[in-house]
Formats: sequence, C-alpha cells, structure tokens
Amino acid sequence: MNPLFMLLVPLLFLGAALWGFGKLKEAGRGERLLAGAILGVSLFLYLCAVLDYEPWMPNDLYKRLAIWFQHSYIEES
Amino acid sequence: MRTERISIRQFAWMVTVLLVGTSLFTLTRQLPRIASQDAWLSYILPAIYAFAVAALFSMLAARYPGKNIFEIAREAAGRWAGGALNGLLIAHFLLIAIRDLKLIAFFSQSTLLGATPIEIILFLLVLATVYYASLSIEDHARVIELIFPFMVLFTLITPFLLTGDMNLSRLEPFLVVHPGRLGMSSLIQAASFGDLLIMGAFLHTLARASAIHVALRKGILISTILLTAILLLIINVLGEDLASDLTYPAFTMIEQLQLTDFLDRLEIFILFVWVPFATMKSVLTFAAILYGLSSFFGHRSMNRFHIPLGLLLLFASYFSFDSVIDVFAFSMLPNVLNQAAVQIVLFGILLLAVLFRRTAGSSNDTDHASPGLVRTTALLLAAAAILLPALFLAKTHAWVGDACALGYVCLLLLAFASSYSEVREVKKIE
Repeated sequence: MNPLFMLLVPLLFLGAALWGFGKLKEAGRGERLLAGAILGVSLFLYLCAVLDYEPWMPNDLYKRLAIWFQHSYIEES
Repeated sequence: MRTERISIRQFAWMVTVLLVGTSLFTLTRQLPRIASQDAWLSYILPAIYAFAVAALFSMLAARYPGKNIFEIAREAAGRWAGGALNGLLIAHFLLIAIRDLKLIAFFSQSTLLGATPIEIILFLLVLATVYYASLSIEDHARVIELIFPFMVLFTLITPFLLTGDMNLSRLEPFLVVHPGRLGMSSLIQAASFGDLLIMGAFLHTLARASAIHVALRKGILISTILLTAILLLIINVLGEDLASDLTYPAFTMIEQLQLTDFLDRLEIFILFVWVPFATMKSVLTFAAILYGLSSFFGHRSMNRFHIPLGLLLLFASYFSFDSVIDVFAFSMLPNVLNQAAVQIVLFGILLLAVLFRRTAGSSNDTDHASPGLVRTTALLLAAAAILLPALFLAKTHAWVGDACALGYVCLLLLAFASSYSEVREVKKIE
C-alpha cells in the first residue's frame, strides 16, 4: 500500500469521526448506529490493507463463474 | 422533505450516463469477442428489455406518485419486507459502484496517470463522489447537462475524423454470426442495461409518471444509438480481431484521431469528456445508495452518511477486482446472473404487492398508451424483427444481410426521432 495513502486515511477517519459528532448530533440513535457500523467496517478494511490481509469481497462470489465463462465460452470460440 | 425537481431532458441524460458511462470501456471489448463483426447489433434486445423496465417504473410511479423506489418498496411490501428489499438494492448498487470505480481507476491508470498508484486514483475518485453527495440531485443533473453535449458531439465528429482509417469490409458480411452468439452478446449487454434500476432512486424528481416514462425511453434510445455508433466505429476502424484483443479498443480508436501534424493527441480532449462521463455514473450510483440508506429513517438526505460510505467504498473497491480483466469477466455472465436475481426479486415482490394491496394512491396519468409511445415501441420491435430473416438467410444471400442491416439502422433512428415527439406530447399535456 502506498505510504501517502496510509497517512491520508487515518486523517480521513479522524475527519469522518469529527464530522459524525457534529452532523449526527440532531439525528436519531439508528442513524448514529448505522454511520458507526459503516465506519467500523471501513476501519476493519483499512486494518486489513495495513496488515496485508485480503478479506473476502462480494465479487469473489462470482469469480469461479467468471473464469469458467471466460475459458469455456469465449476463449474456445 | 424538500421536493427535488429536474426536467425530462435532465432525467433522460442521467439515464444515458448510467447506461453508456462504463459500458464504453468494458463491453466494447467483450461483445466483439462473442458476436464478431455483428456485435454492434447487440443493443436492440437490451433496449427492448430496458423499455419493459421503464414501463414497470412508470406503473409504480403512477401508483405511488412523488416516491422513489426505496419508499415505494417500504410502502408496498411493508416495513420489514420492504426494508429487506431496500437492503438488497443497496448491496446491489454498492457492487455496481465498486465495479465502476475500480474500472475508471484502472482505465485512468493505464491511459492518463501511469505512475500514480491505484489507491490514490481511487481516493481522488471517491473524494469527488463524496463531494457531489454533499450537493443535490439537481446539481448532478446540471453537471451532466454540461458534459453530455460534448459526449454526443465527439461521437458525431469521430467518424468524420476517422474516414481515412475506416474500412466497410471489416463489418461485412452482415449478420452471418450464429444467432445464439448474437443472443448471448445481447444478454450480456442487457445485464449492463440493468443498471437502469439505479434510476429508480430518482423517480421522485419528476412529478408525473408519464414524464418518467418518456424520459426513461428517450434516455434508453439515446444510449442505444450512442453505443451502437461507437461499437460500429470501433469494428469499422480496428476490425473485430483487434477490437477483442485490445484492453480498451474505444481508447485505441480515438488514439487514431489526427487533425493535423501538430494536433495528433486529440484523444486527450475526448478523455476530458469520457472520464467525467463515467465518473458521473459512480456519482449517481452513490447518490442512489445514500437515498436508500436515508429511506430507512424517513428522509431523503444525501449528506448524512456520505463520508462513512465514501470510506467504505474506497476500501471495498481497493480490495475488489485484482485487475481490469477481473472487471471485464465480472461484466459478462456473473453480471447477468446478478442483475437477473435482483430484478426478479425486486419487481416480483413489488408487482405482487401492487396487485394485492389496493391502498396506494392511484394515478391521474391516463396517457400511458399515447400514439407516440405506441409508435416508438412498434419501431423498436420492427428494428428487432428485421434482423430475424437475415440471421438465417444472410449466409447464403449476402444482399439480405446488407438490406436488413440498413433497415435496422433506419428503424433505430426513426424510433429515436419518435421518442423526441413523445416528449413533446407529454410536455403539451403538462
């Protein structure tokens, strides 16, 4: 991962948290929870990137199918 | 809740951004691989399918005026089932946004920003997307209004600037591909047109269901014409073999543009339009996700979750799709299955709910079968029907293929002209 990116992202998290405190002050509990959950997942993905660990992503669900179609239908034609 | 309003033209152009935006980079390579030199004919069935989706949207908008698809789902299917449906839609849109952002990042890296790391390009794209989310959908529509004429202008002038490189024999013989192959390429393109679902998030921006219907149809036809013209040009200039081997054939084609000896990097000017055009698709998808999230809390605010969601999008797109080939592979059969599953579930539940629940407000729109609407649909169906005899006869009688291809182009252009008169009819009623 690019070092500039690694530095920029914690700043972003800090900004997002500060923004969250201000913006969601008047919002309901549900909204604060959802914003917190999204930030939490983002933080987890950031840690994965820093620790060089590849988490499962939704597009992985289709990987085998995509490879099969590419080989059996397109390249053999 | 503030009422957001845009014009029919802006709505139609937003549809074009969604349907053309990233297809320009993915399917212009994939379709010639399947349907060879006849790949440019793969857009008619997707257009008919998109017309059906437009009719469904129009029906839902007539029954639930002033509401978007998320609000309709909650009202029609109830709080829990509607909420689950909205969750499915949000996940689907998130996958589209991730795919498109990663594709634009890969494209920018290999054509414009060769030395820039992919995560920095992604970061900049997400930053722009988050910024747009702090504005309103009316601002998005205005930005698209600025870019769109340039997109059309470049598509119109490109054939004139490439006359020296064109060779009609690369397109001939017409319609000799196996019908199954043309069907498969049409199916893959239809899945790409499935991104029209995103427009469901903006149904509340037009007041009347008939206006939504004509705007969707106009946008679909503009997209069909633009994509057909671009793929026709690519095959005409590069040939089917080169088009299917190159990573970005559309970019290679515009690289051939030269006005004079000192103006030989014309592709840079075109990229100034293409990249924002594709980026606006991600912006619209992001806005749709934000509308979806805020629908859980009974409002239509885009700037409640835009920063956390932007961060999630940044990291999710960083980890998804290792290379551009992965994005291309995903845009094929996996996208067909993904779109089919989501749309069958969504429209199935919504139609059942609409049929069995009679509590929703009924529409005052009575112009669903206006003469213009019937005429445009008939012309589009005729364009599809004219291809059928050629698919079976062109191998033995080449002139049948030539005549049907010419007839197809004429009918498509007539349908396009007819969609404009549809808009005029609706404006008169309004």
